[in-house]
Amino acid sequence: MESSHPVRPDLPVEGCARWGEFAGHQQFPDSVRFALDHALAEHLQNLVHHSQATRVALRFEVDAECVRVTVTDDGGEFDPTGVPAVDPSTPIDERPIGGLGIHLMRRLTDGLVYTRFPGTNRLEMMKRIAP
Amino acid sequence: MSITKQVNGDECEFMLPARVDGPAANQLEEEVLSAIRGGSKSILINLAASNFLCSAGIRVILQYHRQMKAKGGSLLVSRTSPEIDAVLELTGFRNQIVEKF
Repeated sequence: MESSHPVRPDLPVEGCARWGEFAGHQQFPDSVRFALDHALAEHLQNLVHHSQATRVALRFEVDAECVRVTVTDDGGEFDPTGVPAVDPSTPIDERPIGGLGIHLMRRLTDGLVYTRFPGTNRLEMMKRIAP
Repeated sequence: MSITKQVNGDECEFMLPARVDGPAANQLEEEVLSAIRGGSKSILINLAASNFLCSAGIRVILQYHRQMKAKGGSLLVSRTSPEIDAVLELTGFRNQIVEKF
């Protein structure tokens, strides 16, 4: 399933609605639906607030082992997988306020793969399908 | 879906919608700031109806939890669903910001 969207404030709502349609049709376990819904919302929210992207393409795929959500945008180069990891064991008063979205994307998925192409970023978010 | 609130003296409880996404997080921040300006000493974020809490919402909770604590007050979350518990656990904040009975 593929779709293309303008980058505007309701992009996370639009994108997650598309994911919900796909996941509902495929009857994924709730844990898979929830994890990729959340990870996708975080990434699209970051694109709305922190990128100069104007359009985003979404692709949802599934095989016997894995669901893959691919987000391609036309913004400047930004590799979320290169952002330093958050240490959840750091006391609450010493924790930086930012960076939680990418932390959650990492923890909720089974893999993030970033690729930079001329003029576009591509992020693949993968989640294994529970037996 | 919007945020509703219940005020009792200097205690204020906010009931959040099912999906606490970016716009809901912005609204929560405005509501919390308004409560602090209004003199609330104890703020409770009721997540009984919520099953999605994005990082922007967690940021608001964390930021004003610290601010209230520094001023001798409190801001905690309550009535978390399994989905919210799971996300708070991943951030490492669950044991520190969820109300204990």
